[in-house]
Amino acid sequence: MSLLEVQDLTVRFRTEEGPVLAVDEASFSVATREVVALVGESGCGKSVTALALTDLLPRNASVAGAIQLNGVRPSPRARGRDIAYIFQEPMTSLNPVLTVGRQIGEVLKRHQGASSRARIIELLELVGIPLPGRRIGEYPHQLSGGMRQRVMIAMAVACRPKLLVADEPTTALDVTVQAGILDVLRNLRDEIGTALLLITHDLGVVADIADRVVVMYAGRVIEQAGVHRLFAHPTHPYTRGLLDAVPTPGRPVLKEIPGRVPVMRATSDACTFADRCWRVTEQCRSVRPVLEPGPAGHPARCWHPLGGKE
Amino acid sequence: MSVLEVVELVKHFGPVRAVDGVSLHIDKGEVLGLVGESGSGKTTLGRCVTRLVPVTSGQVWVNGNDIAHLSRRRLRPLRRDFNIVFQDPSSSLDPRMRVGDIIAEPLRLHRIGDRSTRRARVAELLGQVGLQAEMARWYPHELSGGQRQRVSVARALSAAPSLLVADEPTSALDVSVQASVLNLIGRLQAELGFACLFVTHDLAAVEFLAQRVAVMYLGVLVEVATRDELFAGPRHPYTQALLSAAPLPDPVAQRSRQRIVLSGEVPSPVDPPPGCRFHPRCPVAIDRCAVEVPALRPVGPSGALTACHLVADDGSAPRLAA
Repeated sequence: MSLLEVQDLTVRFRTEEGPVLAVDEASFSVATREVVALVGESGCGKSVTALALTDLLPRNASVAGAIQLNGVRPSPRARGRDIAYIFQEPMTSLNPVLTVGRQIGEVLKRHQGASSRARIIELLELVGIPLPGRRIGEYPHQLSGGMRQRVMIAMAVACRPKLLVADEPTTALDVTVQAGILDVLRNLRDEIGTALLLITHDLGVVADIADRVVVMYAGRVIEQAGVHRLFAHPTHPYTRGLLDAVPTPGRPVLKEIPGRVPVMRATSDACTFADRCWRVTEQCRSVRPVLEPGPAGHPARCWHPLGGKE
Repeated sequence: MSVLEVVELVKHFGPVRAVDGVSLHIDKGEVLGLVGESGSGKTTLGRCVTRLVPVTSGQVWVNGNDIAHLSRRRLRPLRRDFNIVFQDPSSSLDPRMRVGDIIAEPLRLHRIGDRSTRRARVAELLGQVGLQAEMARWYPHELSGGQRQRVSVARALSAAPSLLVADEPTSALDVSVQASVLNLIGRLQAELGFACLFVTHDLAAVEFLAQRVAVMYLGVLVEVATRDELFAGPRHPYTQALLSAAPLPDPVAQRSRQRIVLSGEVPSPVDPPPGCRFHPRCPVAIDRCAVEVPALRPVGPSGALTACHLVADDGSAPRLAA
């Protein structure tokens, strides 16, 4: 059974420029101990999906659809305890005037009623912070970016969540530091069995750590597959375009995807990628494609999936 | 002949030794990739080369003129020879100016042409960067991020400079848009033949665009080599670690690699370590590395440069294991 089951998640925002449909009936699941990458470019709805899971959306958002954790709809309190969130920017999400130990301690007190120095040090060790006994009394500005992100992760896992949602956790970091953070996330899965939903645009990070990949475009899930299958047999033209856009040695000109991600005002009866797609037909503009198994066997939302008979 | 020749460039911000003695050159028609992580000084170096910040000491020769210490008045006429594209096109374009005026600004400042020839030049540049001529009347907020970056490129190239500094020109953009901006810079560089200092942390982008690569760590260069040589066999231990840390977008290749994980983090440029600046994190450091600064010297048959005591004169280097 899946740990997390998301069914037809839809998120709308009321804005001054009118309504925005940020997530359009997205369905996916995360199994126990599984690392799932939610992939797409800015504006595709991946961060909004993550915020909806953790109930962190602003007030102008309305959410529909079902979120189940271990088969039941989680109470707000259970959500806060069982699903933890890691933000992209560790500097702006830590309180600059509180010590590292105090901030982790507050999480423990709030959710478990008590905190101890030993438990905080244990958490700092878990996320690979050297000399935890000394770091516990330091302030965020005394730490490097990588160490701050480790503190964020320690706070997130303080209450042993079942699922960790991490939104671009390494994007603000250097590659040599990123490698260490990815190791920490892998260790959490191996040591305390936390599942991970990783929001990222970085296909290198996906290739490194994900078990399964969910690709989003303009609010819809357009393809999902195991990581090896997705990279070997991308089925949706957008997925293919994303993979081909990454600079690769020996390729004289990079593949471009013309145009940009559209802002959806309301749901449409067309494929949202139709205007940018090189395989587009009349059907794509008039009938909404369904997410169904394509030629490679895994689901894709496309009337003309790649890998089939041309 | 070199379009750019940087000699022993030093830039200190108070106690911060951001750039601490860097020498490099770029030939006509060449793209030199300058890679490094945050705090390495690569962006500061780009800003010194374009004299956006005053230089502490050293020389910056652009087409035979040392611009490092020229006054603003003396520098001004030389500025048309070089220009810069910044990382974030949203903050580097004046939101109150029309695209056409933004692109024509270097022409106006250098009194190149009259109104009608400038307008024609703007139309030509818009075409070269893949935008429509009518966008000259648009404002930056009406453009996407990728289109704005194209405007930045057109502005930087409008006075036909012989040197373009591109400072992380794709880092603020989405992957598919990054590809189009990299293609654009590559195509224009081949067509127009300007020299380019391409500053980035993105190794894949460097491998795509640059002919030679310089690797910077904590204010100094540790390795300079042709792209093919550097990516096939990095010699400096830091370069080896950097290359191994960048994840490949291929799960089979990525999961079968040996990764070198560095201990610790980049030290403060206020108080860089003595000897080799990388020695506290270097897995193969010896006693000598802590006391003697390694010179950036030619190694191997090709003339590649490495600053490491452990790399032999014939170019053989210690291979780091995971």
